[in-house]
Amino acid sequence: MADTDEELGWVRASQTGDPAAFGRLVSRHQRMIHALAYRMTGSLAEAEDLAQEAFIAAWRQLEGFRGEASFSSWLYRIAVNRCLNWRSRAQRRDAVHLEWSEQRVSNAPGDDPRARQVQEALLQLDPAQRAAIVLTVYDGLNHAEAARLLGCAETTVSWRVFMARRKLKQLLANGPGRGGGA
Amino acid sequence: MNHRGDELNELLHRARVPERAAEYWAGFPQTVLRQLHRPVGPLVTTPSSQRLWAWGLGLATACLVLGFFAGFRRGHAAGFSAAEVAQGRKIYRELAALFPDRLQTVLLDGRGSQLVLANDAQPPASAPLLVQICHAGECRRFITFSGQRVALNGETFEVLSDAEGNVLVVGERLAWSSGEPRKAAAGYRIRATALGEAL
Repeated sequence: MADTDEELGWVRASQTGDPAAFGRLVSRHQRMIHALAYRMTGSLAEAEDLAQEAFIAAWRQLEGFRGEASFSSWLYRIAVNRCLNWRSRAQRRDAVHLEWSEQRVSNAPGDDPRARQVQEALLQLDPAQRAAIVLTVYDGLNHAEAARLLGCAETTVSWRVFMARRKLKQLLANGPGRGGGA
Repeated sequence: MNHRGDELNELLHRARVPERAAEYWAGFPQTVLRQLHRPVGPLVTTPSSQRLWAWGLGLATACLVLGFFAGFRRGHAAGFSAAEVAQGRKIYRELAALFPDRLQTVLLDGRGSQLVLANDAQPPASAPLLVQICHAGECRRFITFSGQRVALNGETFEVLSDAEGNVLVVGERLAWSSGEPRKAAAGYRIRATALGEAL
């Protein structure tokens, strides 16, 4: 997640209120933030909303960005926190599950039903556990890096990953075309 | 421990993020930029009185939050009342003296104590832990060690402790950590603390 000189220039320009420079930052990082939000919510629509919220929050907090961490890490942390707060809107989860299933059918007709089951299993995790899995499995962070992003102890991340994996194995033990455990 | 290359990881990677059209990515930055309300953007100056008021409000909120968490953590550090902890330590000392390095779990109930002893003497895996698990109107309190199992209402729980002094209780339907004690699970109420410091 290292910044290029070009990106640092965009960050500095954004800090002086240049929206065009910020637009370039959005363009560069939009896929990463969308992917995170989608993994955390299982919904394309929610992912879009959360990604927008994350970038807007980043714009408003840019003054506080001092460059101790890379811009992408800083932005990612904002997005993770937004996704964790998404829990407060969890009453929409059932609707999202339905929407997600429909999306998967309509957007990816040839998609793997096992993959769909995996995403649904992810959604059944506690959000903090889900974030730990997204960061360590999909983004390839080690537990110490994930802990820094999540603002918690490394042992807490290890614990969440352990619990999440145990639950995922249970949830995925009897998936389509499988007879045994994951 | 990233579990690279294991079967579960391979399975997880099968769930891909659906691709969006190129037009979506081209238009998304503009969508964001349209929502950047300049009045709250980084360059906007606010009248000093408003800014001072906002600082004051922020400071007051921060103090309230810090006060709350300080109180919460102090309460949590004990987990139990001082009398309960003292009683737990007293019972542990007496039993550990009777059965050195053989004590695995002490079930404390209103009538006394029930002991689980190891056949052979083994140094305990951790400091003694005082744990109470309540569910469906029934509570059980234990003195035990990291790695031991305890039971309530037919359900078994593994008690663990970590290097930071957190106590973890793991069952089939719940995972509780004293580091996040407010996360009640499946109707269980759990309290736990290490008895080690004063022993």
